[in-house]
Amino acid sequence: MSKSEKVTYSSVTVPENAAIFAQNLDFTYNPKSPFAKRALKDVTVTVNKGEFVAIVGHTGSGKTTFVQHLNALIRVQKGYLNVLGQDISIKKPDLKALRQKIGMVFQYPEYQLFADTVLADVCFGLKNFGVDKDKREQMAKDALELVGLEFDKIKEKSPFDLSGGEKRRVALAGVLAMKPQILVMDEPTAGLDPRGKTEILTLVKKLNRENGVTVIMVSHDMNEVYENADRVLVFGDGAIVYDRTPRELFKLEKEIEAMNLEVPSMAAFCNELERRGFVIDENCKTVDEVFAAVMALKEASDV
Amino acid sequence: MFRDVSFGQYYPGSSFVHKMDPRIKLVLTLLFMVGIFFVQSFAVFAFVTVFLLAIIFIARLPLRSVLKSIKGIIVLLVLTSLLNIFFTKGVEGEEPLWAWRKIEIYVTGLKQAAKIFLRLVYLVMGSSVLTLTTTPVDLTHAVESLLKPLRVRKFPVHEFALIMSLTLSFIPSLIDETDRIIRAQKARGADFDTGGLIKRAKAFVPILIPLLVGGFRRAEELANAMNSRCYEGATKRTCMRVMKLTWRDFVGGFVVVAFFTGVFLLYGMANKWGNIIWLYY
Repeated sequence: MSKSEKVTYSSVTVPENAAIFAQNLDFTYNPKSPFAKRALKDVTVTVNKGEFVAIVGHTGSGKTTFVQHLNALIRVQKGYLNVLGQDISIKKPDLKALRQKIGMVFQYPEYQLFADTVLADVCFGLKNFGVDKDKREQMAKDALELVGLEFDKIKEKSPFDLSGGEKRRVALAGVLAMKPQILVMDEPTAGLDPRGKTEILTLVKKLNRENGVTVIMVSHDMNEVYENADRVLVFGDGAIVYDRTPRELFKLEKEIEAMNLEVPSMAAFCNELERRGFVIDENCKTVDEVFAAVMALKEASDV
Repeated sequence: MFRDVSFGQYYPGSSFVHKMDPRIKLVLTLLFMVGIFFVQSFAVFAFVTVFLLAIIFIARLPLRSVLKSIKGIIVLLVLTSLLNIFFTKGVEGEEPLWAWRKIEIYVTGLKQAAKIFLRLVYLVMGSSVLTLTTTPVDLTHAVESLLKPLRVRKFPVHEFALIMSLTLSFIPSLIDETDRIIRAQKARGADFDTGGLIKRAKAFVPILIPLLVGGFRRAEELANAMNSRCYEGATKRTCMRVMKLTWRDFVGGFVVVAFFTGVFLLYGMANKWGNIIWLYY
């Protein structure tokens, strides 16, 4: 598209309840060079406040590129993007205001730790966003306790002396301390043991349900996507291929497998049951819930 | 911000120059760099310009990518040019072009400055033709192969080449990592673009420390991986990609050598018969 054809978005109306509103978002890496790669193709999507949205898709499908648009780490090249009422497709958006509202947890966030003490590291973001000195410690304390670490025990330790799981939680606390309204996470559970995974996911879910934080989670683990997300966006080759609830999405077994994605084991199980005429309730997603539903069905048929 | 760093700036292609043997290219580039210093007059510079442009054209490189390499030496260029303009005394009897108190500028100085400027620019452009058409891996193979004779003198050629190739292969991943850390800290509100010098320098601490920690971690992982595979450098190793000379290397080599033989001859002649004006100015 040449410059003269550039669409203006002055007349766009953003839905009232939208946390994220993207329209015709398009992005090319290294434009006009032999390395040019179109990473996003005409992406249009709305995420409502308080939603838990999972983003899946295999490597190079554009999910990370999309996610990095949300707090303007990647600037909008073409299209319109509005986050929490702030238009960030304009030339000079207020980045500080934007980034304070959006907590972003990258892959392996423990690699971003740098300070002498855990406390100083967690306070880094607060300091950057100009939170008063006397308030910082309390906010850091809240965040560290939220992620399940004992504040008094850990605050003076060097982040480099902690175990892998603790490091990850400290890094997470560094983001949560700012009390973001949207939490964007790129594979938050990668490389963790099963217990660490559950802890992180429980925490995120709690933030989502109790504090009304909008959560965007990129993940490769379809089981955790299935159990936690309200809605799944499937990215393929730079575009959103599917946008459905997890239960609806994973009914498309063939299509999902064709995209090199797995069908979660519980979804596969419920699909099989459904093919045999047993319908399991939409909301039963974990092993325990499905087990209870199956037992209920059994009892009903026994009677 | 680190996307601008043009290191290992290989520009993919399949031109004549791309396909030449990296060893030959390396030797010819060295010849080119030496040859540039034997160019004495603007007339010969004109020939070199045409020659260099021809090579760039044959290599199918966009001129912009070659010129970009000059950015790195701009300070050096400006400094040497100024020094030459102000501190070169004219030949005997020459009137200064412009004078103010003790500062005098002569035509000789201007010419001198222009020549040094051209030399430096061509030096960088010439060598960037090499790096643009040769992958860093090929380049290290070439260095290893060319240094082989030193093995007789117990010089650890293979280890040297290994260090070089490891360094080169770590650079892209370090750049990636830097990029990622910068993003992560930016997301936490870090600001690298405002404030005074000290504030900006301090802003880099949250990048440098994770980068160093990560660098050590990677190095250790790599060392462990090599040890667990019983890597030993000193034993005789074969190369996965054997470099072979082709007709291209002979043709390319002949052309460049012929050209610079001409340059050297002209240099000798100019010294002998300094009165051939066009050779000297």
